[in-house]
Amino acid sequence: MSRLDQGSPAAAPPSSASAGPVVRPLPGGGLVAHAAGMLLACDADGELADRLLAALRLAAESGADPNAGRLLIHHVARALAGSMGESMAACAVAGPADGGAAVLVSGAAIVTVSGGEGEVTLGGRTALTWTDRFVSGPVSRIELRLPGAGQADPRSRLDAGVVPGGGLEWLADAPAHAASPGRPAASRPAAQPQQAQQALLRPEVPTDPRQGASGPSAPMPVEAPTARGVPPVPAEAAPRPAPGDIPPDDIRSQPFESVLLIQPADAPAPPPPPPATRFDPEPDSRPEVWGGDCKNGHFNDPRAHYCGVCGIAMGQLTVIPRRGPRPPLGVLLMDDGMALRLDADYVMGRDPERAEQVTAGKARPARVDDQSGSVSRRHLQVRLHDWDVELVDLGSVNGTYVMPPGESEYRQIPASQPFQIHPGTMVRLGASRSFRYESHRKH
Amino acid sequence: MQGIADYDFVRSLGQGNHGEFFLAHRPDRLPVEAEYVTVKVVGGTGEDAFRRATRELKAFAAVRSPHLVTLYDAGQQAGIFYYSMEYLPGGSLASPAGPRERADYYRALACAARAAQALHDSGIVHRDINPSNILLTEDGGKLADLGLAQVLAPGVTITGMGALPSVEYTDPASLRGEPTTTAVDLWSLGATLHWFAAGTGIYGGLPVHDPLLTLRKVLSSPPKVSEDLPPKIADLVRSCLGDPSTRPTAGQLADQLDTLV
Repeated sequence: MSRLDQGSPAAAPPSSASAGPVVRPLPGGGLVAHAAGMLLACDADGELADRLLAALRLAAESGADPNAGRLLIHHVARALAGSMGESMAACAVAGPADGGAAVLVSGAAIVTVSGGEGEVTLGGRTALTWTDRFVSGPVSRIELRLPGAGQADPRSRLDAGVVPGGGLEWLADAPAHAASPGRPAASRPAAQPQQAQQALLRPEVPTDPRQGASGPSAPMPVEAPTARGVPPVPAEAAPRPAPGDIPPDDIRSQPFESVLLIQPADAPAPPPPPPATRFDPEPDSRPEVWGGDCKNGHFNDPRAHYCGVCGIAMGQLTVIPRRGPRPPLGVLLMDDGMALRLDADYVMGRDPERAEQVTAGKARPARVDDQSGSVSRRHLQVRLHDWDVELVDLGSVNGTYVMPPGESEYRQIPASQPFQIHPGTMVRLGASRSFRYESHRKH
Repeated sequence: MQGIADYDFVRSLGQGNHGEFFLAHRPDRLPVEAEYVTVKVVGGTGEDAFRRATRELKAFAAVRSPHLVTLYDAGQQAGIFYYSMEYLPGGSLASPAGPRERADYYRALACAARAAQALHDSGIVHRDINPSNILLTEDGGKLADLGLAQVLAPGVTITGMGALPSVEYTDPASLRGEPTTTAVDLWSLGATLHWFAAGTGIYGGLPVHDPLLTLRKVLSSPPKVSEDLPPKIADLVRSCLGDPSTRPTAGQLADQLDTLV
């Protein structure tokens, strides 16, 4: 283990100055290690502990690699996969990657990272496998915590090496002295001034790659496209389950992740977002269609005799056709009280998320299920065609049935062919689920 | 459910409009004093919906108002989305934990209106104000639980889940899919005022056993303000249900409510 001590200039030499990252051990009953900005806390038996420390050493040997954290995750995942027994050892690791941090957690350990996405927590608890994640930078604080760990003494440091402990706390820039132990929100380092971000996990790298182009005042990259799955991770890692794949009673056998929403008392008020974008979370993607304006300026179906909004006569000969964004064509009222706005296509079924039209972004998923299982996974597509609403049965097992207004019996529609419906039509999927097409637009 | 993530549940607190609330022990990692927290388990969502919902909740949590429920964290386990918030033992307008004076209702609604104004000032529309989302405190109330239906399932204007027919408090314009504005929250506040002041909803009796019929009735019949209401309250309700451009702001409504206590 002495090799861990060599060539690991991760933290600045001890001094009373506040500059530079600091690693503090948390008291507790496991084993913690720090080498070149690579962090490990584990509560594992001798053999696995050796393998985890070897993994840390391997990653630390990659020198100034700004993505050493990915390598660390790779090696640690391999070590854990090799020893998967009756229960998962509590283990947490973190290292620099892509301007942020790559973290992994298994068993009852917890990792918390204050970074570009706010404060993110990952836990394994009783999970049967580990979970890993990339957290975008700049990172101001990382905490690895085993069960029963205490609070770090603000005077303690672990510049490099392996010691007994319950976890590690990494701070981009420790307060000048003695932040009070305990966990008052105000003393959390998430709200450090800008210069606090200058030194990150690896001060020996002159231009820290984790600094990124964005300072703390830049918009938060909440939906970083690389946020999932830190490659390269061995193939043994379990794939993320899709919703519904896990019975409700078993979800606690899976890893969890959480994002802290609590605002520090001294956090600056956020800049008000532009109102128009907040009100409707979806971008306005209504397709343009041919139509005409009534005298009051309402955009209408060119075939309409009366305005669908105000009811005024359209005077068809005088209406000038133009292209315009199509207004919602009404709503679908489901028998369970759900309402769907008809401004886009839908795929309905037990498992519509994986439908081709949905994954391609051409239709929204609408989950419809029943007790008897008579609804197919991808049962029915509701399609908007210019100003008309059409149904396409997607080859469902039990069929789709319609009851137009004024009729009293359902009849089946042919599969895979568009079938136009009018307001007031009832539609049934399989044996028991149904909805009604309702439009406030007058016809 | 016994729990989610590192939350151990004590008991269910009932259904919300798109999920179930639980009373839970506070995990050690949360930097708050409280012994208990409220966890809302929303159910299965895709990865995109989780990110969108977390972003909405972050925006909600960043709004400063003493009348907004404090959010703690949002997370997911096995694709099941949850978020946690402060636990208030006083119950809601819909089901208070103990007997309450009439004046308490007005005070709580005024607080909820002030909270709505704070959201509106930050460019956020709540979308789901109703009696079960207005929680009672010692000296007023707090507004809880942002309406996430449109974020979690795009296109869904109301989810149809939940014990209370919250559709009764939803502006029919947003049911029809018209663009959301702050005016929809005024409708909800006005409908809530009508509900406890008159003892009936603005649509009279709704066929709650038949959700589809309920929706049709709400979409097809204009709201009716009870004749039993004192004229001042009736006018206030009418102003909230009227043309969106002439509705009061939430702050103005709060001031009016204060004069009624």
